[in-house]
Amino acid sequence: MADGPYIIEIRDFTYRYPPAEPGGAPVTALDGITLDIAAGECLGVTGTAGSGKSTLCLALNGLVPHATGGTVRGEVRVGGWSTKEVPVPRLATRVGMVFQDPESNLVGLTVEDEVAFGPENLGVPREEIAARVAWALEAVGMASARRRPAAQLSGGQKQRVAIAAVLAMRPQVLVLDEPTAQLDPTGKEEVAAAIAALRRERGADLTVVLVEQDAELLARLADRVVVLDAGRIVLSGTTREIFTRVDHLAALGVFAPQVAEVTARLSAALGADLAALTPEEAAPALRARLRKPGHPERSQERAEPFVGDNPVPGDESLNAADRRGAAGEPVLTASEHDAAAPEPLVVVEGVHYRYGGSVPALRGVDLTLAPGEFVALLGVNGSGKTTLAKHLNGLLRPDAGRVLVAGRDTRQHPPGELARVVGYVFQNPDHQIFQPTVAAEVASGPRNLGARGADLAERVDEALARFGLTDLRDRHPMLLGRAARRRVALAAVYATRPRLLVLDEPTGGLDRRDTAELMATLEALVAEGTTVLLITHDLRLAATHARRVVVMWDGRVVADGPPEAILADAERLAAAGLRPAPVTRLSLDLADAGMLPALTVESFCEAFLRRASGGAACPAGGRTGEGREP
Amino acid sequence: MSAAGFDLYVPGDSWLHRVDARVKLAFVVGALALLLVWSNLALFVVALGLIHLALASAGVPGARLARVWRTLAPFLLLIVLLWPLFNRGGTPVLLEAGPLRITGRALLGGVAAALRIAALSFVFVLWLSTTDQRQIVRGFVRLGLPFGLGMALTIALRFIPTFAGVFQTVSDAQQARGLVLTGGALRRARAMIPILIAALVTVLRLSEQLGWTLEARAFGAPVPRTTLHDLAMRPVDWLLLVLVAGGAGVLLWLSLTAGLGRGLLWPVV
Repeated sequence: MADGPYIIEIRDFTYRYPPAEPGGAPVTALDGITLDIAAGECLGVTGTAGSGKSTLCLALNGLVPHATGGTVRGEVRVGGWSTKEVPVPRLATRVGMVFQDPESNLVGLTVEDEVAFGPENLGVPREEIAARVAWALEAVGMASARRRPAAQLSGGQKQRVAIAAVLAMRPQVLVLDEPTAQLDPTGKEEVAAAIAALRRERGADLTVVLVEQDAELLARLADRVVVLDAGRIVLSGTTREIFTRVDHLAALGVFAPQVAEVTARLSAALGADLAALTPEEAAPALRARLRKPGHPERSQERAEPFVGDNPVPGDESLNAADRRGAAGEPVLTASEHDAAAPEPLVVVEGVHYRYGGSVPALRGVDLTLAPGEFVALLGVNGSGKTTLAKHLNGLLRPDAGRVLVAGRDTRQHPPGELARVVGYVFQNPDHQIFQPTVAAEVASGPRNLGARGADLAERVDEALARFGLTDLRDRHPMLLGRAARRRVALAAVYATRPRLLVLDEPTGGLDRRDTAELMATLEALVAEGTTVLLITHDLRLAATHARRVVVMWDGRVVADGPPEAILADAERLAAAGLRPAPVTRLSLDLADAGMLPALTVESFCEAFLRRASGGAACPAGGRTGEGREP
Repeated sequence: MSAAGFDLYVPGDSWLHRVDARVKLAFVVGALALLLVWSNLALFVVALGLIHLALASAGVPGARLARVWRTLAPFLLLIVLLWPLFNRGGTPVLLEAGPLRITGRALLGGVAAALRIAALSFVFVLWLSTTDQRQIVRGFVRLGLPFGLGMALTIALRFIPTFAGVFQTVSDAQQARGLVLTGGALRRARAMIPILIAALVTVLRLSEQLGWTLEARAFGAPVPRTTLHDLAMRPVDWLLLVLVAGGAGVLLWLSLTAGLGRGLLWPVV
């Protein structure tokens, strides 16, 4: 695959951004990159935040350095054209580029006009444009939406239209910069399927450069993967070669596919080569191991009721949960929680809400949150997660039903006052950053709530220290990287000392290291008695950290209970547009060989080894820091 | 965030939707000229009636029109009430108490002034509810507006709801941190500053990316641009253009020379 002809040749390419602050030093984003990309291959690019992935994308279509300024050494050639010499609009006929944010990929026309826009700019004859538009929309499965305004589409649809819009320019190279990072599981799947279909159709005529943090997606689509770190290529090889080096990836702070982690650990423990990247690929060999003579299949009655640290209910309780789930009932109702829990912090009772009085967003939601709970709120886009969360601090008020926050009815107290109890960290950190320094930013919340003098200073210092921002306290928050901006936003909310912390998709775009750090902080807060409500699409996160999972679908809570009961219930998740994590799918797939459902890499390995070899411990299964799944 | 608050357009494929954007622009110009020249009660009522008929035939829902009326109502009422206070001439005198003198003619004058505002508004409603923003921009471009400016206009229109959404989110985020958006005007204005700053920064980040997107789609390539859909005048468009331009021209000429519609109560008085 990698032996020519090369469509992209990068030779010792070094790029420095102009300094972010006047008088500052230029920032080296790419450092001596040499890379060849063969026509027709799909190259995956991954690495931590700030490793240079996005800059590499911009260098491929000449926006680096034409639009960004800065200094360049070395060369990027696309189909023989040097990006230094050929202007961006001309390079656009060879390299199509799709950015991460669906909002910024679209110019603002109808789907059809959006796709026609590129060819129009290139002066393509009308009949040819019409043919290209039809083809490109067909290729991404958006033909039926051609007359709709692009602004009304879902995130996944927007990204597919953006891909069609660059395809219509007939590029030889498609560069996708984290195209699914801001999408829910449904949107992710749509885009992944569209990319796979395109590659089948275009073959050697289309080269794909796919930048992703999502290792599962890369494992599925990429032929080859390079890993960037601090602007250099530190690993390069076939997708399998790269992703089976799980320890190396962990050291680099890069995600590996869950199944690759499982099989790497099992291979080490059993002294065999079980390496695989997907559940489908891993299942046969693992099943054979479980059924090996000498390890007869155990009956369900004798199955260990505990998998790893997480108590897993026996089959009877799962069945009980199933029975109730089938009737559309939550696994545990609010009152059941009340019985066991102390005085609730938040009580949501029969809440209905319609946006603009018309579109129903919540249709009768009940939810109780107790002090010190760590709750994951799951659901696809539009299921009502954010709408529900905004009811918890009074940003939205119920049309019917009521919300009590620490005993106060949100209809009678403004959000500014409820902020004493509920801290809300928004999805986009830029939406809540406005002060000239990090310290001032962190101080503004407590000051709004009346903190002054020594009390204020103490709160700020403590928040800065907790989120590793002490050294950055005098920097301008807007000039920090995305992960640091997120920490600032979080610290600013934390400094108000809320009893309930609501986080809306806090890990989007964060790499493994930053995600692990964030989750460790949240765990610590929960241990201190803070309630955390984590809104996420990431079932891996929910499985590893949450003690309770709430799933929403179509404005209703459709499941509420311990992770073990919900996250391994493929049917119930599917009904809410979700899918179990890969490791869980693998465990479910092996149920016929006696495997119990497992939610995490650790619990899978432990359960597997216990069954397969009578109790060998899973190596490298530490419960802290890097070894643990973020 | 819905775009509905900023975009009057009602998607559809009626005869009015299909009329070329330039013809509708000609209608708007002609109608505005006439409504500004006229001051006649009867003509305003007729104009409003015709516009409503046209809107109904184009499938614009009555609820939408009712909403426009509701929005206009306070202004219209104010005009009707205040007009007689400043126009004290004419007969019959309905009420005279000290300096206050209300005449029947002034009262009708107030009603006419309000109806003129309503008619002017509905001319725009007719235009904007049956012509989507891209058609409007395309029309302007075909009439000589440089394409780059037209594109800028398209993007600006498309981003109004986005910006409004960003503003709302930022406002929510600030309130979630204890910012209280109540109190006196000055206090509220001060509280708005952080919201504006954060909204502006977000918007700037988005604009930078959007600029890259435009460039990566060969916007500004040094070749003559082509178009997938161009505005094309059908025979019926030409016919309508002649009718609209001719009709407006004749009526305007009659108004200016023969005084058509210049009197408040013509043809009664």
